[in-house]
Amino acid sequence: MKKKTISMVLAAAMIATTMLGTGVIASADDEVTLKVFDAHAYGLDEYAEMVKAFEASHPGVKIEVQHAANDSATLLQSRVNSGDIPDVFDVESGTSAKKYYEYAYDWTDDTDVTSLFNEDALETGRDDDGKIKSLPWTYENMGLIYNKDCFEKAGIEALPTNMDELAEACQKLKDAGITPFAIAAKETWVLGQVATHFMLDKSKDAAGTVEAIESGELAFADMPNWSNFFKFLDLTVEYGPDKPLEIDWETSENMLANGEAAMIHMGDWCQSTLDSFNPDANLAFMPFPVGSSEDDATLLSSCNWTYIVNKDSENLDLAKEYCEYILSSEEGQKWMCEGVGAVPGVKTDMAVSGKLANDAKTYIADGKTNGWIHTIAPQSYTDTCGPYIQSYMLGDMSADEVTELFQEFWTAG
Amino acid sequence: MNKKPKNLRQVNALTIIIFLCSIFWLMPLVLIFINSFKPYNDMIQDFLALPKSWSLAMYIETWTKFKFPMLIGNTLLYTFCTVIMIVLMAPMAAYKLARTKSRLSKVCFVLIIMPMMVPFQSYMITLTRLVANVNLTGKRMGNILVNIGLCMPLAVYMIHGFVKNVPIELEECACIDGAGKIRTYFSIVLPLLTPILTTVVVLDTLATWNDIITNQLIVGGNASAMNIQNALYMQFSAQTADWEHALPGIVMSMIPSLIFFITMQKHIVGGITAGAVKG
Amino acid sequence: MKNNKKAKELAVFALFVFPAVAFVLFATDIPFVMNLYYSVFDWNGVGKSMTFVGLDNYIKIFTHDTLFWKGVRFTLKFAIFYVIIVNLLSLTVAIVMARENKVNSVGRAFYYVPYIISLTAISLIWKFILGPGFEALYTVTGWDIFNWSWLGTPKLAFYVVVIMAVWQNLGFYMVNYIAGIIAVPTELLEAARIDGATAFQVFKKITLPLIMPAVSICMLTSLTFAFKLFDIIMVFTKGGPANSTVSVAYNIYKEAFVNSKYGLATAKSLVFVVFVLLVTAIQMKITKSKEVEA
Repeated sequence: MKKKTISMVLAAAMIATTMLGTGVIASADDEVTLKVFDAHAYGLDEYAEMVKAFEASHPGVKIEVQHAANDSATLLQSRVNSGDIPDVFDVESGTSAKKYYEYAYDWTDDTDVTSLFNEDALETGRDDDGKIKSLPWTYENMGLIYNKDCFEKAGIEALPTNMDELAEACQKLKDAGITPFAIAAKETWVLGQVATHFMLDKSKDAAGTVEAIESGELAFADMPNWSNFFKFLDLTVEYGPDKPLEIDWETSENMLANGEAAMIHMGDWCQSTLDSFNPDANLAFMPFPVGSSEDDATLLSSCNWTYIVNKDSENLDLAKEYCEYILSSEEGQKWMCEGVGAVPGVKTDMAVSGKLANDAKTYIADGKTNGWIHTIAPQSYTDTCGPYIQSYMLGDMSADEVTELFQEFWTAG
Repeated sequence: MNKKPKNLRQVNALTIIIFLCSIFWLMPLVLIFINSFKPYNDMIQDFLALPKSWSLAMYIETWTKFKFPMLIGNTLLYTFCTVIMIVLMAPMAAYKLARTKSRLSKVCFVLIIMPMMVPFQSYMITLTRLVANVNLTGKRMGNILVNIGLCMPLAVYMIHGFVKNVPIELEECACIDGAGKIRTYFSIVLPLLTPILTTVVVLDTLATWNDIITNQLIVGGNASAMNIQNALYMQFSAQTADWEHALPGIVMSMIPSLIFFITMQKHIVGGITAGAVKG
Repeated sequence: MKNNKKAKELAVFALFVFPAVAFVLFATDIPFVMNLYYSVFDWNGVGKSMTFVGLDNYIKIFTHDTLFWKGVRFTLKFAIFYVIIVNLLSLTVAIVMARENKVNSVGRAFYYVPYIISLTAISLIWKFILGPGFEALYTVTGWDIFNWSWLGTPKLAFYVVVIMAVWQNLGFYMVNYIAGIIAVPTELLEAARIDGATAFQVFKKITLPLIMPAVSICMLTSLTFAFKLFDIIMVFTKGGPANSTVSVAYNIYKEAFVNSKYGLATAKSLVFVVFVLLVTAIQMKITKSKEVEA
């Protein structure tokens, strides 16, 4: 009896495995499949619609998208390594993207395509020789985000422009029973981003600043605003929640949207999350008061994600067309403006749905923004330096020690 | 005579404590269930509160949005094939390795159990390369083969430990009867291994059912070959988390494995009692 | 004649063992060994070119990689705590829950629940237990323990990781121990009881020696789990606060995929595996010597 069952199970297993081996690769011969890798988890419905429209206008073409929001860098790396390079994929621009540029199609001579994009957005896709190796997605802006209603309730009329005014505002907020800060200090990337505001030398802009730091020309100890960074951290601890280092991005954004906290550091990429917490939240950017006056305050803006077309793709022309399509066509603009709610890198007149993005637009128009530093910093900047900042917040390290470690990291490579 | 009741009482008190503690282990199930009915904001705001309504809308949406029937089909296929192959090969290998005292046997044993000590993260890139070289990337077959290889070490090790306690005389009897080695194995040895095999089956079923990383690495680019956990995991990133769909998905993905465990646990015990009657 | 028999035996051995070995070779052994090739190169993990650097990566590990050694200390400390606590607890639960009845089978299923749930959900739950859950407990009890910043203090975060790991995996060890305990002949236990032995004596003199195979399985699996600790760190603490919960596996992962130093990462994994093999070999020797040969 038992023997029979066992042999039957074995037979079933054999059949199942052989069937698998042969049955899987059954696709039509005349169909072309374009492999796409997308590192976002928002605006997915709009994305699907966009793909459908593309497939409809290109009979026989199938778009196979892998949305890999989590661990996207790891997955992309393993796909590239296994030779399964997607035809179109996106990575964070700057240091991360440069790793992939040797696989990237060179857009420099395709002026009919590149002319569709804003010049400063295109800059984020240039390699060291100035060639355009990738095309920009949307602008992302980051700085302090504050809840207007909280500020009103606490009777703060003018936005703080320096650390002392910020401290005053905090006190007022606290007196009004509102937690002034909910910085997501559990996330090393948030802390790393915060620090970059204090590094920026406005006379050089982001790229120039990074160059100057790496070459040793600009030392951390000599940065005019650097000491304010520690003042700011002290404020976030003093005027933050009881357990500051337990605040992750989710809690941080939730507290802001629901008016429990007045200020966080984040960018407009969190719009959709904020909306799902409280669609009526009255939020706006506050240029980071890193220096002594309004002119020093920073709002950092950059096209953080950039799309690469695999130059060795079997369907290179189709891949190029698709990449151009998602980044510049009407459907693509709809995806970025409405689905994601951000300002696209491509020139457009379409209205953008995100409140924060619209808010940032005015600063961009006035030329008051600068580029991002943390993405063009040495590899793994936020992962390495973020924990140092946490140590400072815990009181385990002094400001001088942290400064020294920053200096060491930036000039080591 | 006096001592027996006292012993019993001690044990009973402990039983109650342990049983009460088990509620602490059950809690996540309850919390996940409750929160799977809440909108995102309510969840983050007050995780412990009961939902305002017990609407199944999110469940239905998740079911269709994630193409659950397809995901379940894939996951079932991976789990079934992996477990069958493990049950077929692991006890054979473990039995033979335990009974053979040669250098080759030792080398094979070390080769099989060494991966238990190596962090997967340290060789996953080369694994994906290897899988690509044999042209299995993006294919269900690749996913299954890798899963089998990853589950094998622990299975062999556990059965190996068990085989040592199975009396050799039984096999010798069979040998004298004139049964071949393979027949002896299937008719005498394998039935004796049922208890440990049940444990291995439970373990590997759960491991394959909940697998994320192999699925991501091997069939990542092929959405039609995704399994449940991977599809759900894709909804999270450093800056967004779609819990509204993820939690109902997690509840639904858990039901089969929970039912499986509850039915299997009877067999673990039943099988063991049968196997314990030695000779 | 003799040769023929030997060949036949070898063939049978191959038939039984080689399929399993082949799968393991394919999925882990070969990739791991292939990987070591990169440990003498400087490679970013993506690019087409790499630079030969000889033993530089290894030298780097031993001279100035403080985070790696911090990870080693964390992992060792974690292993000690985890192995002891999880085995003691699961054995206790197993002894109590071993007898077959309705209450026990429900209780056992409860203990197994965390092992079934995906880790992303578990990390969500723990975030809230340590947050609002503890807050609520603090207002009710007023005990300071509920007011500590468990995840925000390096020392406490270590214990959170230990507790979470124990909590998640207890069910697995419990099942193993139950399988062992049930195999102990009841007549033996009855006889001992009638002779007037206390519950503890019965356990120490009869049950424990007979379940040593289960003990050594659980010891080894818990030890290897501890050494490979990754998932909990990855989805829950992310190594923080201030790098206090960086495990070796996590450090290797970060080095390879975030810091883009693939060669260095593989060198680290070799160093660590050699180290782990030594520790487990010692551990296996100790438990094996205590096993009773049936």
